[in-house]
Amino acid sequence: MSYTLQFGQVWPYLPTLAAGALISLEIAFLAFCGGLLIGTAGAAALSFGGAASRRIVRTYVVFFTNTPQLVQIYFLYFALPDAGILLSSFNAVLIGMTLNAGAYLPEIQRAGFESVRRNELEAAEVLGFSRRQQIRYVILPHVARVLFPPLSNQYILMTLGTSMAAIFGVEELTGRAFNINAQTFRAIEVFSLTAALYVIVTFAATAALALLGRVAFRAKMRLV
Amino acid sequence: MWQRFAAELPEFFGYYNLIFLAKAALTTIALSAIGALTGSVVGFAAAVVRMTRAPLLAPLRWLTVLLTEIFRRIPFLVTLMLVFFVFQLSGFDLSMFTVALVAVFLIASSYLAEIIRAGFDSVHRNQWDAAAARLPRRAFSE
Repeated sequence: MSYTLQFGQVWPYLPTLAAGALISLEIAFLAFCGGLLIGTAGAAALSFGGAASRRIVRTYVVFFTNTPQLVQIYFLYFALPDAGILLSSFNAVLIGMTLNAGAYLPEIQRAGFESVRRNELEAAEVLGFSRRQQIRYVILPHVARVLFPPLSNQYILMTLGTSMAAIFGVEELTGRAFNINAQTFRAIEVFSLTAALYVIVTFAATAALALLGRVAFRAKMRLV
Repeated sequence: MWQRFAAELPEFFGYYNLIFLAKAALTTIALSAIGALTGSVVGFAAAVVRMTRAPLLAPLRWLTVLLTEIFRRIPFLVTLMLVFFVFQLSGFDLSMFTVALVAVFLIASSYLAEIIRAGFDSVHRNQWDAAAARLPRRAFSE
């Protein structure tokens, strides 16, 4: 077998792929923000809610963490039109990823909220902190510091998860790689370039998040 | 919609469909089980390599770090495509199952390498010191 790698045909597509990578980051960011809202509500329900709301959240979490994300988006995109709900592929992927993230985030967030120890609150009370001061100076810094690393980890995982959007025809990084592969038939070149872009993009995101976490929240984060 | 749904349901859950889905589920289980087993063996080895301190092994350590970092940052779909086309063009005639298994194995071993390394990292310094203090005596007495 003689297959010579020819990156020459693929290089011109680099800007297209890079723009696709931005769309991947965008989908991940939107889904992450939506998931954070669901996650906060879920974590609040798990910590402070009654038995009924806890059970609802647990059922939701079990259902969405034990089915593949791909199947969930398939359901939204191909099954919901039967019920008269038409979603564009972008929206279907976005909603699917949001719902999926909303299942993983409550447990992460709950662990972060509950990591504030009783002693800290008692110490703050003894020092004469008001309730608002306790939240501002004790609870929030602690929660941010503990919560930021796993949340940024989840964001990176979601960025990788957006590659599934390609299956539904969304023109993000993997989707564009499929298209360029169909045009040039330079499969290895296209996909290794795509892989390199994913490594670069997620590494840049990790670096930015680690820097932010260290500077803003004094979180213990490292790059490698 | 529901009437059509109800009408099509018996056909959907027909004998051949169920057998087909059950076989597919078995493939999923086989892929994940074999991938997790081989991945944890290689991931464990990678974690051990990363814990070594010998200067001679430095290139091996860098290679391990590089590979785990790379494969943790490529989406599964892209890894799968790369594995598929690399095998196709290198002339190995492999089944699709093997191709998928190699992709699962690559991803599993890099993720597990990090998980196992985190496990090793969680062993407190004192415990390593205590083990180091005890080990020579035990080694000599046996």
